[in-house]
Amino acid sequence: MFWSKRPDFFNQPRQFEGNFKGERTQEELEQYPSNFIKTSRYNIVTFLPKSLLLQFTRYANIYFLCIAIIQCIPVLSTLNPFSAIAPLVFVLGLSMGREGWEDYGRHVSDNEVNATECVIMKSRQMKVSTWAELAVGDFVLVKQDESFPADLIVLGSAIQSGACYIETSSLDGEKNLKPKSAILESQQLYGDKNNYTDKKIRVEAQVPTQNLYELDASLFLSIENDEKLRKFQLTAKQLLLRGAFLRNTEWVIGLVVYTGQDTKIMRNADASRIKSSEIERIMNILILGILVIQISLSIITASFSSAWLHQNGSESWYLGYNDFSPNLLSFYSFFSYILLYNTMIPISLIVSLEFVKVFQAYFIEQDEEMYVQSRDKYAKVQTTTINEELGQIEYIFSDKTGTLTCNQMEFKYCIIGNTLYGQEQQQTNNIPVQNLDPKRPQSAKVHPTSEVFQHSVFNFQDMELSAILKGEGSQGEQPVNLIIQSSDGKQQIQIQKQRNLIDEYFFLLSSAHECIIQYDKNQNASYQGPSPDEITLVDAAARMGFQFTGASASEQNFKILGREKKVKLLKSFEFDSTRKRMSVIIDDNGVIKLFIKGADNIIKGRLSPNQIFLNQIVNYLDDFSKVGLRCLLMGIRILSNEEYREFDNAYNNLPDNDKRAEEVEKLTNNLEQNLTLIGASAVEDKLQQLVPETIADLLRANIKVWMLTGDKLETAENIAKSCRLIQGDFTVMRLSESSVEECKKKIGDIQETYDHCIKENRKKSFVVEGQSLQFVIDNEDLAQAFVSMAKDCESVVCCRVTPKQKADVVRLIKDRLNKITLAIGDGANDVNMIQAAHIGVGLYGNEGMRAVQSSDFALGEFRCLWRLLLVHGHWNYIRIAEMVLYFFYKNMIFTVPQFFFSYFCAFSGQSFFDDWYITFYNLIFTALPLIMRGTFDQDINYRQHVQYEEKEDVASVQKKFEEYLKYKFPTLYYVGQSKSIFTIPNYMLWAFTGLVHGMIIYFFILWILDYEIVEDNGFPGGLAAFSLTVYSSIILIADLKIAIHTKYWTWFNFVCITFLSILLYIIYVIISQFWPGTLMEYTPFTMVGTPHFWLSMILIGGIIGGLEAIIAQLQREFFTDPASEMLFKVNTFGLNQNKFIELKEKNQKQFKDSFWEPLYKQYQQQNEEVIKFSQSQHAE
Amino acid sequence: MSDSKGFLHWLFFKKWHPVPSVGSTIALFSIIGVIFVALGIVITVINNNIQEVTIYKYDQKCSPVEYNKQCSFTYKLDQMKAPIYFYYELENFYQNHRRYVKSKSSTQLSGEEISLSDAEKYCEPIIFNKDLEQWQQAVYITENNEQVPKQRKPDDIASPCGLVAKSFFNDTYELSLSEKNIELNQTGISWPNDKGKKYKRASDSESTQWIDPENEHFIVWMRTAGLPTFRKLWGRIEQDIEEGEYTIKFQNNYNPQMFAGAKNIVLSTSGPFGGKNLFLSIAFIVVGVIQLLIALAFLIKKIRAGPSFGQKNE
Repeated sequence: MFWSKRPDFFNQPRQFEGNFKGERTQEELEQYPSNFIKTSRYNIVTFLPKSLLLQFTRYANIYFLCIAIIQCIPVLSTLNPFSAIAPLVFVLGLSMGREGWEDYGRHVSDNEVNATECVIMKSRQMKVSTWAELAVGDFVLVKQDESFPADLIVLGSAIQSGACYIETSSLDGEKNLKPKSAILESQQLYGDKNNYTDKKIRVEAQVPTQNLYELDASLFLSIENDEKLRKFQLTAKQLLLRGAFLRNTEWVIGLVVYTGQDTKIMRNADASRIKSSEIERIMNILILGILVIQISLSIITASFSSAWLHQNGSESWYLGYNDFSPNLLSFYSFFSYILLYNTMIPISLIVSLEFVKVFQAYFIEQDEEMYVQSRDKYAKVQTTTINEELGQIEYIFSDKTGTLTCNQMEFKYCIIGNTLYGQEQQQTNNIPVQNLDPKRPQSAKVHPTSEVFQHSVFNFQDMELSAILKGEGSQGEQPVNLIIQSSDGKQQIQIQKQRNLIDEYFFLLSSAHECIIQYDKNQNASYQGPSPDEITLVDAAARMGFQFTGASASEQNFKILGREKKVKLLKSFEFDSTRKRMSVIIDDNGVIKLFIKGADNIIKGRLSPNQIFLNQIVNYLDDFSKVGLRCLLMGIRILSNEEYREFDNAYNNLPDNDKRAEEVEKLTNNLEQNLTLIGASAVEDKLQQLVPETIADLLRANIKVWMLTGDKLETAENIAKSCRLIQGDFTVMRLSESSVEECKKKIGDIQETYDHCIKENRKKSFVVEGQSLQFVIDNEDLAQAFVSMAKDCESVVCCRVTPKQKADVVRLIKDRLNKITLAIGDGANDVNMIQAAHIGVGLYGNEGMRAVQSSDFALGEFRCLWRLLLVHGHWNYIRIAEMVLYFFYKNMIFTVPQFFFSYFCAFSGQSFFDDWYITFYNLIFTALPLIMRGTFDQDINYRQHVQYEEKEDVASVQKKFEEYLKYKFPTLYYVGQSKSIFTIPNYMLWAFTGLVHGMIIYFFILWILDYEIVEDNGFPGGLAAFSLTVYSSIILIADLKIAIHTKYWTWFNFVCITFLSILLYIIYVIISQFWPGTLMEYTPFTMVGTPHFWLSMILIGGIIGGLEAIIAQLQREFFTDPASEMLFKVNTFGLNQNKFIELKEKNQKQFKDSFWEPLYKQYQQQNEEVIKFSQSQHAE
Repeated sequence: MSDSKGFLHWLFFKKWHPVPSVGSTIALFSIIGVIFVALGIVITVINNNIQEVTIYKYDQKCSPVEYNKQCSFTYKLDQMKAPIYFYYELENFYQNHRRYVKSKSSTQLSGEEISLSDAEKYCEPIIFNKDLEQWQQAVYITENNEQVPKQRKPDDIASPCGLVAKSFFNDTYELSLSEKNIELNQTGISWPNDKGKKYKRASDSESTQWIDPENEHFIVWMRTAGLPTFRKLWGRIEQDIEEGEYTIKFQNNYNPQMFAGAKNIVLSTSGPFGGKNLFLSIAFIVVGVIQLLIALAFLIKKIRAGPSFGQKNE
């Protein structure tokens, strides 16, 4: 809403020419959006009016402004105007200050981005310019490791073939390199940065979209010296995205096609919004409700006032009315009563809530259990207004890479022939392994801030395998006798021993891949490639001694067990999501081999019959996939020279048209048959610490977890398995269709499976792929069907999704189901979803700070979510919900006497209490105990002992008991989820209690002070005495009530109730004794000497305290909630344990037939449950 | 654990997680119940010793009913023990009306002069002498040992100004038994501290103030009542009185019909808990008994249900 309006002509398709000279007119500049980016909302001039306006979009603020205005009109005001204005200014100032500070941050980052330097080519000259000055049609030179200033079309690259590599982690979170390339023709024209063509170049492109993987544009080049332009279709392969980095390529020349707000990254960015919590929304409704009550009460009182004045006004001579209009006066008294009943909606509620939330945030940030050592980070709270929603989450949307996983792959097992290797490796991933090659850096660095992030972790260790590779031991001599023949039988190789098979296997790994080798400043080599899996395999092979040292277009170089080796690279067929396999054809010393690796189902279908290793390998694979390892099968085919020549001819003679790709596919498909299986590999996508445990507990807390990832479907599913999102007994439903119709059909099928699952009460999981997801989002019927199923699935996995889609999925649930959602992620690609969800959690990751910056809570690791939600969230919900209820209660008991007093003062608008007593009631006397309770109260804590008992056997029982409590803890989360505390009926109950208590206080004291002879000296009381007694009783009851409802006492609670509430009140009473001109002047000292004062307090305390105690006791008897059950268990456990131990030491024999026997039994019973629990834990 | 951390730990984690048991509830209720019943009984006993006599609408007892006249009537009183407090009681008089309550200047009453703007701000609608009653405007100045009536300047600020002062209750009483006057002590009837602190004579009181602000009846009047029916202390009888027909002579100045109300006289003795108050004693006894009954109910249930009562979760 803060964007300036986008002109219509920006939404036309783009047609422009390359600007060789780099000069342009104003008119040309205005044709497209500028590359200047503005995310800030205010400037110095607009800040005050705009942010004030924003403040007054809150009902409460408008209300308080009105109250302050009324209070300033003397004829209406019953109270001191200052007492209304000061809090209002304070509240507004606080939020405006925060708003201003945040916007300042946006200004700074905008300026930084806009002032970033880039190089524009003007008539082949390099001119340094800033990002902001860039315009459509400019030629830009980008060097290695620089980021792209706008969306560019790559025209030429330093690499001869026109290829270049980009890293798009800021856009989609994926760290691996993406190959892009200039089309051949433009590479020829622009391949030399010092001497590229000055001929005309034209681009026609579609309106900018948000899809990262889409470009619909054509390039017109003039080739072969004629002026006629030839058209070339462009694809996403030519698109360089703003914000991405150029890697592994010395430089590229690009043509600016989309600028500023048109770029993919900006199109994917959502405007940030202000978050307010569910409770606050209900509270606003309640406030509106109370406002209605307040106004109607005022109207009622005003009309009574009018009636009284009509009847008695002229009679009551002592009021000095002459010539008066009862209607006008009662109109005034309407406003006076609005002010008096204003105590029902005190401004201090909002201030107190803000304070409590800030304190809660402080304790979240101080929590030792959320400290992540590897990153040296505590949790950070950036939005304090939604603390309690942490306890109400029903859906979690989690990014995968970097959030659930470390984005690190580990080579776990390899199966070569019939033998499985890799069972001896250590579990921990951070122990640096011995380097096999001293030139290479250690891959797994312990320190997280290492400059180069490593995709692969290598802990693989197998004594047997290394012995074989070293040529030691006898296992390598085991006979294999595998003969692989070409189809026509003209060529064959023979693999006799296990050792040869192993050589072949690792040679395949180091050869069949798309990785490139990269050297850093210290000449340390590392591999880069399109997917981390692939890198890991190449890396593993290298560490086993089969080192890939580089490749050119037709050659591959290796260093195998110390010896250099060169093979001819004949063909290479890339991996893609439909092929799910990758193959190379090499000429290895005259033998033409096709090396292939791919997904198990794909390879299995392409094997020639009679595979000797197949059964064994399939057995292993089943086990691997159960634990979520990524498995690939490796196969070989031998080609005779004739076979290859035939293929090569066919390949080269393919027509050069649109169908070429299809034909290539057909050809390779035929070639990649009759394979011989030689082995398999299992790679683990390393999960972050405690991820499966955390997810399991979240699921037990009845939170649905959705995983959203840019990964392929299979990968995503594997990870989901390994982090227990999909467990063994889950039914998996997959939706991956490429058209709306198919999608509809499939959804129908899935519905059947789903109904079946529901009937049989089976757990289920939904896996949906990006494209289908888009159909679902765009199509209302599909969306309905999808949501109705997905909402009850234990887990949902969305793969191949764009950042925008991630946010769309969140909105799908948020808007349709009206449930509280949380999104967690670590990369810039998660920003949208983080902002879209009710609560956004950012992780400090390897991919920069953008996720953290736009999040509400920042954590070090995924596992911290356990404590953030199940502990802090749970407590905070209870704290805030009960605090709001109590707030309405305490203002109810304060307003009710005022209301009834109006009946006794002829509805004249006389305030029952002194001005400053009213102001201080919420501000001081009842504020701190409530704030402390809102900060500290806990229904139950699984940590029962600050320190364990010194005696070891006792300590172990204590620890076991805590474990048991911790295990039970997630089951308490329902409290917030079902919004069971802050409900309208509960509110009514509290308000009603307030009404009853208020009436008890007012009328009992009225009757006690009846005729007002309050002392043995015969003094009558008067208004001041009456008011003081009622007020003191209210303070007493307010504190008593909060004391009864405090479940968890800390030193602070005690101090606040006794000293900062009651003592302060006493001090103020003393002050008011000497406050000239007030109602109370010279009243308190005498009053506290009277028995009536104390008798009133005792009576009221006894009645209300008794009422509360009975209700509490009955509630415990008949409506126990799980938390207090657990608490009860804890207490009896502790009690029994202490007594038991005490007695055990005294005399063990005395137990039998003694008074303590039942107690002893009770203790044993208690222990049994704990022991049962801990046994079940060990079994897992 | 270091000392500083120990302290912080103690500060934040010293905790008490109370779980009230049935036993403690029973104990609590029994104790409170017993205390309440005991208090109730004590109050009842004391109440029974307090005597209170109300003479309703005493102004109606003279015929004809005329105001600003002296008048007397007889009333039969029982024997009463000193001290006996003598109150007047007004009904349907809203001393707590907003317009009324705020219409006074505490600065002026504490003996200082106030500006016209302050008078207008605080004393509306009684600001000037001309706004006062006729008798309040008259002033007597001692000239040659003789009190000479003199009119105040009508446009001077009234002192004390405001509605509360203007409506000052100015009936006076005398009590006698068979011609023998019974002294009504009219000192020490105002709240402690009010006289001389809250209410002080101005330096030129005699010439400017229409009433002495240290007049205790005035001070008593100025302490506004909380309810439309209220009593105010007028005097104290410091001797025991016998049974007999007493003559009450009073200056009938104040006309309750002007506010559709009534004025009464109340004679009362007092105990350590103040005046007679039935409600207090009944409330304490009833609440105490209920609490004891609840304690008993819980106890019976606990005994019947055995030790599992209240521990059903085990």
